[in-house]
Amino acid sequence: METKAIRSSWVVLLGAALLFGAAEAAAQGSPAPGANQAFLYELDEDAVLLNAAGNVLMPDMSGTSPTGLVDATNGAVGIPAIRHATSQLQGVAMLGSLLCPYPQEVTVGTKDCTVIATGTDDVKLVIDKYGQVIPTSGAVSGTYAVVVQLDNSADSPEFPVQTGTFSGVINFQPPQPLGFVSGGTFTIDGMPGAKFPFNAVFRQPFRNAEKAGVVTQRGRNVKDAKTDSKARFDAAYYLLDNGELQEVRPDERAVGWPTVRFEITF
Amino acid sequence: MVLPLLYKVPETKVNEAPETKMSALTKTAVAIIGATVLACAGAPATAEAGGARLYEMTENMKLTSRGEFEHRKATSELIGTADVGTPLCPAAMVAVVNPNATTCTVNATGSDSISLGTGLGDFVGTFSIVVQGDNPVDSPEFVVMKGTFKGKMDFSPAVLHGVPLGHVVGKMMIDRNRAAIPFTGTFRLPFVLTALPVPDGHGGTLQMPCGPTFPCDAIAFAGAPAPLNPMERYDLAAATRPLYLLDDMQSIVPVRASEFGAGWATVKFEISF
Repeated sequence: METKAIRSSWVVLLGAALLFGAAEAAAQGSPAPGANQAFLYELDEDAVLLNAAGNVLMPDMSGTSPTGLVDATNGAVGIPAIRHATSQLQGVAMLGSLLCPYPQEVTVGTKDCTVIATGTDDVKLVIDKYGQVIPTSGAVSGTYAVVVQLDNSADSPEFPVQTGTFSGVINFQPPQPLGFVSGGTFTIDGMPGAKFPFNAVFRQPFRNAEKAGVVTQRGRNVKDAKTDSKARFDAAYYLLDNGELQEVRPDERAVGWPTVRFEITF
Repeated sequence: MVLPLLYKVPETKVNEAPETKMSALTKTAVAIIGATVLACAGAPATAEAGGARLYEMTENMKLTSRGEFEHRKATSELIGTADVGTPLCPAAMVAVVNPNATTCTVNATGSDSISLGTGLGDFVGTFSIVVQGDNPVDSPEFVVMKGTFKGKMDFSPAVLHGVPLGHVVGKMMIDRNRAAIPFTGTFRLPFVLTALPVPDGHGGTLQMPCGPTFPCDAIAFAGAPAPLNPMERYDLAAATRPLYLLDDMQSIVPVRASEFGAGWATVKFEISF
């Protein structure tokens, strides 16, 4: 029965977060990073679940697996053990920070630099007594580029002027919709041997439990959001360090979807 | 997958008009461009059934090793949707993984190399079809299908003529399936207008530069806000909001809220099978 619970509940990590009684911030703070910070937003993500043997798990098209997943290599019932994901990110770094050292790199019309990144993580999963799949911790690494405008100022900058890598270990603290990277390291291409430390907070967007179940402005219940892509525009929030909620802004969305915000401090 | 965007409104031949005449000019400008813009304001850029629409979230481009700028090479990350029943969103798969869905979410990584002399080039890439996994609030992420694509690009409209359009012909292959599925596509590069046409007094028009006394966006869109659109990155006094050009090469439509990424208007890639 526990495995059956997995099928219906491996998607509910954030559901628990909705139980938070955190108050919505009365005045929405600016999402802009502070000095020596960068905010990156996860614009899309490819994730796969692996079993303990490291084999990819796929949806069970036959409907016979109690977990809803099967081992892609042999069709056996799939029990997730690792969440492997690759994400594409874009955001801004404040002028003077590691990712925005020169005024010439500042995006025209702003006070910060545009940064794009590709990140990969492998997070270990555990199954709790309720059958919930819970993320714990895992390695994160990737590459980044500081980019400037070149040939079309109407879309996002594209020409790299600084590139490098990053790595660290991310720890999740469910049911909080947060993850933490401490002791991470950035490198800059062309500076062999140089490593720059960083810490980061990974804020996952969620909906406010107190508002869940109400009819939205589109006449749909937010509980239906999972299968209704048009619900992507419904209000969503980040949980701040002080327990307040900060509403996801339009420029923190990707094709309408609220994004994970990765707040980096150097 | 953005090419050098040379699209510009032709140079105006007059200096800034006297402020006293601005109201009349503004009204006339509305009359000239209003029919095109307003007729399209509520319409999608193209027919949007039976295909897919991807949006370029990020782009990372490269120069040639010697710093020459003869070829533009770039890798782009895209996200969008494909209609149920298309090769990117098989109905049988949808019935199992997301029964009520009308579209599938598509993530893609594409790389291209374009000659800046001809506007022609090649592209290759990978895609994945994703459904909601562990957070229904952000975009879907759980991979249920993967594949590759490749083809030829014709960006000569943008590279040679400054028209913010490009066209592709290609094939895609779904993993564990050898069949090559042909497709065609159109790239629409977002752009802004920094001037609008006004009468020149001789039966023609001239381009009036946008500015505080001639706020183009307010004129073109009658001051209507764009709900939910993130416009912090755009100066709506100095130019219009971001736009796409349609296939008739005349009509324009504003980029919608669902076509932005991290506050930026995105390149739109429309795929037909």
